[in-house]
Amino acid sequence: MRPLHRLYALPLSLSLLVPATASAQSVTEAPRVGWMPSSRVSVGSRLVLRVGPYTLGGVGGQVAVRLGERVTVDLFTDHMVGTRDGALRHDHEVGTMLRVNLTPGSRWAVAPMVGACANLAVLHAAQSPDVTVSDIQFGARAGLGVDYALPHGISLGGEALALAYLGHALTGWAYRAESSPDLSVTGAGQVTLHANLHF
Amino acid sequence: MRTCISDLVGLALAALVTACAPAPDVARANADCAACHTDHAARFATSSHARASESALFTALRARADAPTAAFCDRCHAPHEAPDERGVGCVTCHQAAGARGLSNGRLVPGDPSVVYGRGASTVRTIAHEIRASGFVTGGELCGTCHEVDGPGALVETPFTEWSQGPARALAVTCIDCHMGRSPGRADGFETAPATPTSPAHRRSDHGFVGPDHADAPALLGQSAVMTLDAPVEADGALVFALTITNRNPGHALPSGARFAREVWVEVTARDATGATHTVSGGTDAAGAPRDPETRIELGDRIAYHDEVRVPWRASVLAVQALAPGASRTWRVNVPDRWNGAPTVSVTARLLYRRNDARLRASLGIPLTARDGAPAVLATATRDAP
Repeated sequence: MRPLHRLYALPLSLSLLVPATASAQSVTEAPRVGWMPSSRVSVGSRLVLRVGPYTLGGVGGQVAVRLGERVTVDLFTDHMVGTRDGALRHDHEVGTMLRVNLTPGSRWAVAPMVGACANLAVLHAAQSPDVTVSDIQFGARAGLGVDYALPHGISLGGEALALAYLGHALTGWAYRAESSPDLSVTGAGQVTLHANLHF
Repeated sequence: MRTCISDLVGLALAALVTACAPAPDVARANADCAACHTDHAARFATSSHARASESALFTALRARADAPTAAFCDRCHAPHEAPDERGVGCVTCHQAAGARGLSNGRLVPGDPSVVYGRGASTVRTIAHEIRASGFVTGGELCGTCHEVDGPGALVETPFTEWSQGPARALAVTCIDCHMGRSPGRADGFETAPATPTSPAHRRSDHGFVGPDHADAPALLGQSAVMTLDAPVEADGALVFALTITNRNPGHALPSGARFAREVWVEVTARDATGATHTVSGGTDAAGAPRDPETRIELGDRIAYHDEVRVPWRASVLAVQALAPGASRTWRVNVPDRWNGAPTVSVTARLLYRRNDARLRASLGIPLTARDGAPAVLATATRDAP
C-alpha cells in the first residue's frame, strides 16, 4: 500500500507537469484561438469522477490528435481512488476515444465520442490493507464532450460518459478482498473535466 | 505522450509488484512460540491441525494427486514451505492478515513481525506485537480452510453450515465451541496465563476439538439424538419409525470432510431365545458394509470414477447430512419372527467412523485401533408389542 503510493507519485506528478511546462514554452507566441488548422496536437490534464460499483475520483492526462476538421483521437490515462465500506479501491486506466466535432470553426466544440479502455482495478480490505485483489478489465465507453477555446491555445472542457467493463467483480470486506471467479459486465457513469494546451 | 507511457509503465509495474509479491517468510517458527506458550503448544500438539500434513488419509490422497491438486491440498494442509514447518502451525493463523475468499485456503499472510490475535487494540509485549484482529477471532479465518468447493466430491461446508445455521444467529462463534472449556458448547473459557510470566487471562483451548479429534465421539454424541417409535405390525414385519435429530446449532451431521465420513445406523433385533440378529447396517471383518445400498447413512453418496477412491475424481450423488437442528425419519422393517422365535426388542445404534472403511481400504490405509471400531453416537431401543 505505502510503497505503491510512493511509486505512483512520480508518474502522476510528471503527467500533471507536462501541460504546465509546455505552456511556459509558448508564452512568447502570439495569442491563438483553439481549433486552428495548425493545432493538431493538444496535451491536457483532467479530473475524473466515476460512479459505479465504487465511487471513484482522480486525476489523469490526455493527448489529443486532430486527424481532420472534425475528427479527433484522444489517448488518455486516469488514476482514481475511492472507498466503499472502508475498503479502498484504486483504478488505473488507459484508453482511447474517437470524437467527432459537430461544430467546426466555433469556439465551442460539441462532440459525441466513443472509445475503449483497459483498466487495472486494485482493491484492499478495509481493516487489512495487505489483503488485496486486482483485475484487468476491458471497457467500452460512449458519451458527449464539450470544449471551449480560450486564448493562448488553451481549451477547457468536460465529458459525460457511460462505461461498460468486462472483468471480474471485486468486493471488499473488513479482512477480505475477493475477485469473482466469473466474468461479468458492469456499468458506470463518468464525468471528466479537462484543460488542454494546443500546439 | 512519453510521460503518459512512463506513467502507465510505472503504474503497471507497481501493481504487478503488489499483486505478485510472494508471501513473506515465516518469521517465527512454531518452536519459537512453544518456547514461551508451553501450555498452548502442548494442547496444540493434540489437535488435528498439528497433523494436517501427516494424517494417513491426507498422505495417501496427496500421493495420488497431480501437481495442481496437490498444491490445492497444501494450501490448507501444508501452507508453509519451510521444511521444519509441517502442517498447520501457530503462525498459520496468528500471522494471517485476511483472505481472498472464504474457501479453499485463500489465506493472506500479514506482517511477519506481528502476532494477530484477540484484544481491543495493539499491544506490545516483550516478545512481539499483538495486533487485534477480528479476522482471527471471528469465523472467517476458520472458514478460509474449513470450506472447500471442489474439485469433484472434495466438498466441505462447515463454514456455510455455521453461517446459515442457528449458531451464528445466537452469536456463537467457532472459538466459543471449538476452543472453549467444554468442546461443542459455548459455556466459557478457562482462565490461565498465556506464558509462565504473564498475568492470567482468557485461555483458548488450542486442541481444537472437532470431528477428527480423539474426543470427537463425545463431541458428536452430544449432538445426535435418535428415537424409535412404537412399531406397527404389517405383513409379518414390525415397522419402526426411526428419527435422528442433529442438535448441533453450528454444523451438519456429519460435517467437515464429508466424503470421508461414515455415519450409519445399525439395527439389531433380539428374539425370544435371546439371540441377536442384524437387521441393517452390519459390517464385515474389514468394516465394509454388508448392505451398503439399503442401510441408513448420513454420509455423502458418492460415485467414484476410478477404482481407487480419490474424491477429486468423483461426483456427489446426494448429500444426506442432517443440517444444524434438523431431524429426519426413516421406516425400519424388522421381521416379527426369527426361525419361529418372536422379536422382543429392537435396538438402533448411530455409528461413526471419521474415515470411511471402504475409502481406507481403497487407499490401502490399515484400520487402526482408533478407527477400527466405530464410535457410537446415539442408541435407541424399543420393545416389540
